[in-house]
Amino acid sequence: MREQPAEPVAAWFDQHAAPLHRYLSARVGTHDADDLVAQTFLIALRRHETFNPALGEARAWLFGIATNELRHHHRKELRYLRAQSRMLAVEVPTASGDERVVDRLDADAAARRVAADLRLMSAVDRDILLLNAWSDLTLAQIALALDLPPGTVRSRLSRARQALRSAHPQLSDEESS
Amino acid sequence: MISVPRAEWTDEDLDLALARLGAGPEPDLSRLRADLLSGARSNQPAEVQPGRQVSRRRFLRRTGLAAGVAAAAAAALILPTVQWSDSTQPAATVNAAVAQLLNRAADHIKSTDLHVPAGKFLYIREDAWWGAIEQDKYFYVQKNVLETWVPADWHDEWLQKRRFTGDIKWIYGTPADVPVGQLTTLPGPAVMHGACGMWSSDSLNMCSAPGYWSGPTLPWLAAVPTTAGGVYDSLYDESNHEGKSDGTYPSMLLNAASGLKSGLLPSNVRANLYRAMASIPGIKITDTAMDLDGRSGVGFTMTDPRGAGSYQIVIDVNTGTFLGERSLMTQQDGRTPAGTETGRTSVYFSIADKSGHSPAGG
Repeated sequence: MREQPAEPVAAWFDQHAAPLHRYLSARVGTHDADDLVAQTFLIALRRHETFNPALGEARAWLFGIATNELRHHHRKELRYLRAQSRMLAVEVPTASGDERVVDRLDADAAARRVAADLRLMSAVDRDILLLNAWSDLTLAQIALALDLPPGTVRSRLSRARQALRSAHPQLSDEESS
Repeated sequence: MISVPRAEWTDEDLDLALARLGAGPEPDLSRLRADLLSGARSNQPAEVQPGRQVSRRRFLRRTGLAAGVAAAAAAALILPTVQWSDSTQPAATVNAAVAQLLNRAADHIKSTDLHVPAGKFLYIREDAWWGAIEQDKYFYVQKNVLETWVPADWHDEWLQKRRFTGDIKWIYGTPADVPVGQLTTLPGPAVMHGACGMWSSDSLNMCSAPGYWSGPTLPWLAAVPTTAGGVYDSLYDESNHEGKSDGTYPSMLLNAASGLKSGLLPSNVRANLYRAMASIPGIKITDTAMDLDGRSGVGFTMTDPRGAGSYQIVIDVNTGTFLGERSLMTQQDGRTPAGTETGRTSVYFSIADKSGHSPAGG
C-alpha cells in the first residue's frame, strides 16, 4: 500500500513553513502569502514521491515550488510593490527633529525606491535577488530552487544588486536566463 | 506622490532598504497547518483549501470592521446602518452625508456616460503635480501632462504621451539644490504605444490579463461584481495586503480612484463603486464645493490611521464625473508645514476622432 504522504509534509511544514511565509509575505503581502504557502505544500503533497533528497534539500525544493507559484501572481506582486512604494510614502514624523523618526523616513524612502525599481526588473533577477535577501537559502540552494547554474545565479545577483545601488539603474524587464 | 532622489548606494544601504521593504510580523501558521493536514489526511483535493481560508479571514475582518466603525459612531455624526444582501460583511455603519452624496453621483452617471463610437478614441488627460523631496534640502512639485488615447476596440493601438509643462512650485529649496537633470528628465519615455495598452513587454495586457481595480482589463470587467456589496468586497480584498486593516482603508480609496482615473470603468461599475465607497470606514467629506483647477466638486478624504498624510478625491456628484485627486500633509514635517499639497491630479475625459490629436477643449 502506498505510504500516506501527510507525515513527511507535516515535518516539512514545521521546519520550513515559517521562513517560506516570511519570504512570500514580503513579496506579495500576508494575505496572499497564506494562500501561496498552502498551495506550495499541497503541491509538495502531490509530488512528494518524486522528491529525491539526493538531489538537494527539501527547503530549496519547497522554495522552488513557491517561486514557481509566485510567477502565477506576477501582476499581483507588481501591484503589491506599487502599493508599497505609495503607502510607505505617507508616513510623516510625529515630532520634528526626532532622529528615530528621521531614520524611519529615510528607510521608508529607500524602501520606496527599491520597490519602484523591483517592478522594472526581470522576474528571474527579482527571484534571485529577493531569495537572497529575504530567505536564508545559500546561493547554491537558490540555484537549485530556480533550476539555474550556480554561476548564473551569482552573476545575475551581482548585476541586479549593482543596478539597484546605481543612481541610474539599467533594469531589464526582459525574460532570459 | 513623493519620489526619492537617486544617489549611488553602498551594499549596506541596499541591504537596509531591502530589509525595510521585507519587514513584517511573524506569521501564525497554526490554522493553515491544521487546514492543510486535515485536508491531506482525508485526501481532499488540494485546491479547495486556500479559498476556504480566505473566506474565514474575510468574515473575521468584516466583524472587526463593523466594531471599529460602531465605536466611531458614538462620537461623530454617523448615523444609518446598511446591509447589502449580497455582501459577506456584517452590517456596516456609514456616514449619512457621504452616502447621500455618493449615491447621488451614482444615480447621475448613466445620463453622462461617454460612449466611444467605433473607430474613435476615449481621450484621457491628466494634469498631474508630482512631488520630489530630499528631506530638509529641497521639496518641490512639478506639473506633468499625461494624455492617453484608448481605441474603441481595445485590441487596436493605444497611445500615451507624457511631458513636463515647466511649472514648478517650491515648498522649500532652490533648483541649485536638485541633482543636475532631475528637473527636466522624464522618468520614462515621452511617447508609448501598443495594442491592448501594452506599452512594453511588462505592461498589463488590457485585453487578456486578469486585471484589478487600478488596471481594469477586459476579462476583469467581464467578471467585476455587479452589486455595491460585491464591489466593496472586491475592493477590500485587492487593498488588503498585510492582513490588517490600518492601511487597507486608505488603499481602498486609492485603488478606487485609480480605477476612476483610468476612465475605463463603464457607468454601471462606477455607480456601484461610488455606493461601495460610502462604506469605507473613515471616509469623510472635506468640502462640498472644492475647487480643483477651476472645476468644483465634492471632496472625499481618507486620512492615514498612522497619523500621516491624507488623500482626497473630488467628484462632481451632479454628473458622477471623477474630477481628480490630491495628497496633503496633515502635520508639520521638518520644513514642510501641515496642509502642504504634495500631489494633485486633474482628470479630463472626452472623445477624440484620431489618436494623438487632442480634442477641442481637451
